[in-house]
Amino acid sequence: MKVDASVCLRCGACASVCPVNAIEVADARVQAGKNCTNCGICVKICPVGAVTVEKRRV
Amino acid sequence: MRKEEYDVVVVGAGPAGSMAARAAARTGAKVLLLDKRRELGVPVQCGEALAEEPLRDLGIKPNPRWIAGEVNAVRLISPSGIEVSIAEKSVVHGKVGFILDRKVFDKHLAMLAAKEGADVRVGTLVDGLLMDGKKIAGVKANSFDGRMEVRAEVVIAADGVVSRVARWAGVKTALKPEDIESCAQFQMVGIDVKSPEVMEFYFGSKITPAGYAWVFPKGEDMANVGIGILGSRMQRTPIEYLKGFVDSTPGLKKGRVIEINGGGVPVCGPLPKTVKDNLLIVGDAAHQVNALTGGGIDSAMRASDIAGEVAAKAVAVGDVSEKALKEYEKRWREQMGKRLERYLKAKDVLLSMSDEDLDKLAKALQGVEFDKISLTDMLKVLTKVNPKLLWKLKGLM
Repeated sequence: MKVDASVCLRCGACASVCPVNAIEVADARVQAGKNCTNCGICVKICPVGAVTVEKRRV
Repeated sequence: MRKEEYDVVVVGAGPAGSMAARAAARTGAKVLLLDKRRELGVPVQCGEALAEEPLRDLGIKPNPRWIAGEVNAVRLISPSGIEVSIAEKSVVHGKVGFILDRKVFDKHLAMLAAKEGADVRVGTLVDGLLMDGKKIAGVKANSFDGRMEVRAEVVIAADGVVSRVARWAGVKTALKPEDIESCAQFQMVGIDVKSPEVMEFYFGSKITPAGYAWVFPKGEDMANVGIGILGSRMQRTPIEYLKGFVDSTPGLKKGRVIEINGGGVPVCGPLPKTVKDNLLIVGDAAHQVNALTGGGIDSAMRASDIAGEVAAKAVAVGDVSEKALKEYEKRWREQMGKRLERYLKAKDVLLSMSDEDLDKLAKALQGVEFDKISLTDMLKVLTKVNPKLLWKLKGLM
């Protein structure tokens, strides 16, 4: 997953639904670790549409 | 690397974490309260409404520095615009609740923890558990001044909706889209606030497909204006729905947005288990939220006060096993378990209602005077005036 830092509010909604606990919500930025599977759940839940994934697994 | 030793380490200094730290320190433990943020209370992820009761029960004196508005009534607006007003009659000192300024409130609660003797460290992101074999022995963190390890007998996970600490400990806290309300909020100025003492809730599929919009006044011309949508029913992002709501509401349309907030609210009911050996889970991290309203400060503060006390006592007697810490689970469930369960059922009923159902319900409730703003009272009235709605509400009484 990729986060547009200019849009992201750092609320952590993405991390709360991440099935593999890959997303770290730090004070200044949100990012996914290596275990991110690009599943896209985080994209769907983001309140402001700040998250994208490169490819979605169906 | 910095190495510290404490009896209790609390991860997250929101209302839950600070209350847990305060209670643990008060009960005699050596406590460290950690938060990733360099400024507590920021960013706001909340509608900022809190009843007066929990503050009173927990011995926290309301302070004008963190009260942006005082409210004593609720107005529900149905899809077709039918208004239902609920005013509290049996009020103490003429108020029932506050719209907080969380940026100040959260700092105040951390200060209360510090006053009891807890150490506080901001700018410190916990990124893993410290393990002695299979035993949780503390936390690892990236602090503003370098790496650190904190050894502690008990870890209290108060890391909010992300709830990573519990997950590292093997507790399944991940939410599914149907378990979470995704919320966006504008802090607005220059709007028409009809009555500064009334909290407004707007319903209907045109506003949000599953949830409600709120206007929580912060004085005459300022309010938190927000919207929540169940994750599984989102067609667009909440902020788009919020823009739509503001644009279609004349008193709001002319206002200016001075802050944008967002957040996820767990509305699936509390975790089935909130303790493990050396670990307690509190607040949003434990999904201790009123699933109907999405309000979580009240239950988080109450549960965390118990958690801190239980943790400190367990350390004092040298038994921090799951069995000993279970007292926390037992006590918070006794205090609020049933209530949270009923709110969860009520949420499911609400989400199952069509716009037509909601309008019918509003008509039935219109003009009825409530003694207290409580679900039970509302349901009692409802089943009297409109028995046809009863089948949807069974199991709630």
